[in-house]
Amino acid sequence: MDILQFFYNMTNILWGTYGFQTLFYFSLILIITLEKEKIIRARWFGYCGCMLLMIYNPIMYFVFIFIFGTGSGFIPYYCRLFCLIPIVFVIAYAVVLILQKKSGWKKFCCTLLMLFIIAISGHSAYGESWFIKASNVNKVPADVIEICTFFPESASCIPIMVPTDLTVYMRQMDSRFSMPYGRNQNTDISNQLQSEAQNIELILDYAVETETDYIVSLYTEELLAQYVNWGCEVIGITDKYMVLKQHCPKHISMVAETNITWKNTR
Amino acid sequence: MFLLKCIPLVIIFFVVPFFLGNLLIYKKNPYMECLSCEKYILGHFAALALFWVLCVPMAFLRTSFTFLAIVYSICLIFLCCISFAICHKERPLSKMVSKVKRLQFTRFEKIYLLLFLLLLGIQLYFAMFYESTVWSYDDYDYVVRSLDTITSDHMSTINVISGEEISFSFKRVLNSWDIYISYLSKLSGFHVTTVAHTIIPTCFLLIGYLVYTYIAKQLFDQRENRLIFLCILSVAFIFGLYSPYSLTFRLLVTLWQGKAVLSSIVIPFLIFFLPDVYNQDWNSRTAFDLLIISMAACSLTMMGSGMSIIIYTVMLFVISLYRRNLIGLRYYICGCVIPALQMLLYLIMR
Repeated sequence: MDILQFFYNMTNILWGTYGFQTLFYFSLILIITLEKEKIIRARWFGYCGCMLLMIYNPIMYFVFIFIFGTGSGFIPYYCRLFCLIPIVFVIAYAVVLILQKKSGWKKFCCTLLMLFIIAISGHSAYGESWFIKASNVNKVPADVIEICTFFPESASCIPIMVPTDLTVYMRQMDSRFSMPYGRNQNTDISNQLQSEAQNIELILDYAVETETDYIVSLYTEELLAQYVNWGCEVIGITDKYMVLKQHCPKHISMVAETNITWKNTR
Repeated sequence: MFLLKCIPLVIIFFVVPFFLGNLLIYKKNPYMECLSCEKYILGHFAALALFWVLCVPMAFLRTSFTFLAIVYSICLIFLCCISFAICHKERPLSKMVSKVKRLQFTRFEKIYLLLFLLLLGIQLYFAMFYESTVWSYDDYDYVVRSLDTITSDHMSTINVISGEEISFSFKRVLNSWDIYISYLSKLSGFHVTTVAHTIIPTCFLLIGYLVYTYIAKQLFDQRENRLIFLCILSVAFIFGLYSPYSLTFRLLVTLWQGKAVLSSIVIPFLIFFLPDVYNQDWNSRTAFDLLIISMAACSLTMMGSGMSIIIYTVMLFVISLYRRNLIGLRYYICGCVIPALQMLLYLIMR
């Protein structure tokens, strides 16, 4: 990877927008200009400057390659180095340096103005569509909690395959679940389980092959009828998903018949 | 029942650090006794460091998680009893309460304090009642490991996908944060997901702001300026989501992860704690404090060791360059030895 291209990509990924980046560098300049004590100026500017030099440095780049390799996680790991720079503290310190010369209501009004400037320069996590009110104290989808209740406490191991949206959560709630694939594996099967158009035969073949007894699929009336038609047993239904047991004679006999026909053909 | 479950967590998060902090600074420096928040923060790091020191060798020796929990609890009780026996004559709690009672705020200090408490309250509300539906993929590994530790009573030997027993995961064994969550869950009776997603973000948000209060005290002499600093900081955090690598994301969205606690609590504390340490004469107890902070950083995530070494090195370079003299080298060695050992172990064993 070209080092300069890497640093450019990393900077864009890290900062996103220009608002906070501008605030940070402007604050550093303010600290150098307004701070009277040399030792404090040296600490802020010296530390941040040294850290930036260390991060944007080919030696550090090669050290990271040696430790982490050049896989997909390389840029995220490298971006973590920026937490060593006290970006938010630099901004807050510079703002107080401006404000401390004022007093009384003037100081208060300027404080509110500064708070407003910071707010419009940035972006709030609380307004994001992915940051929502939790439906339970566990902070996992309610469907996952409901799915856990379908299985008796006496069951020691529950082989199960789930759609993409639930892969991350199942074993967080119950360690008895045993999954044949993780979050980035067999995405074809997990994506199919999430969609309204599914290749039931493919899914059931995969379940038999991996000895997975239970299948969690997106719930629609049509899909439910298709699974039941293939001989699956319905264990439970939540708002969005249905839990099925695939260990059904019809599928096994169909597979067995197919194998016999194939052998006879040979 | 809910309140009964909260009692052990209140003890772990608020009482134990108080006692451990008192023990750490006992007769160290008369000035230090005034900084209650520094005492508490060091006490909290000491609790994390102690857990790490016990957890890593026990994980290597394949002892059970229950045994670790019992030994750690006994050690905490023992240290708290020693702290009480030694320090109770100095009445640290009474001193703290009387100090708070003597506080007198001016009109504007009250306004800034109310504004800060409002901003903190907003953050606590979202930490308790809101969740992230994306960017929680790492939970697939971390929270699952914490639950598997309790269920199997083994540490770092369970496959997070299939639930089967596997051989060791060295990267995971060298830090103890996941198992610490398991400990909190076992102690309180709350489910691991509740501890990770609801309790830890709320409690550690408060601890984080205690660290920022300490930083404000280091930077400004006037209380009004400290309160303004905290207000600016709060708004900068709330509106600072420029990327998933920002401190905002770590503090307000995923604070139950070890790397988030490292980035938003331990590293800022270390950055503002170190300069005064390097500038002072050698004191073995201050060196011990650095050792504890380093061990706390190592306990949270593997990158804690690397990050600590970088901070110690850069700060030593900056201070020495300013003073035109290599100072604080012994403190530097004390601070770096444990992280360096952890990194070496990881590189050898991976």
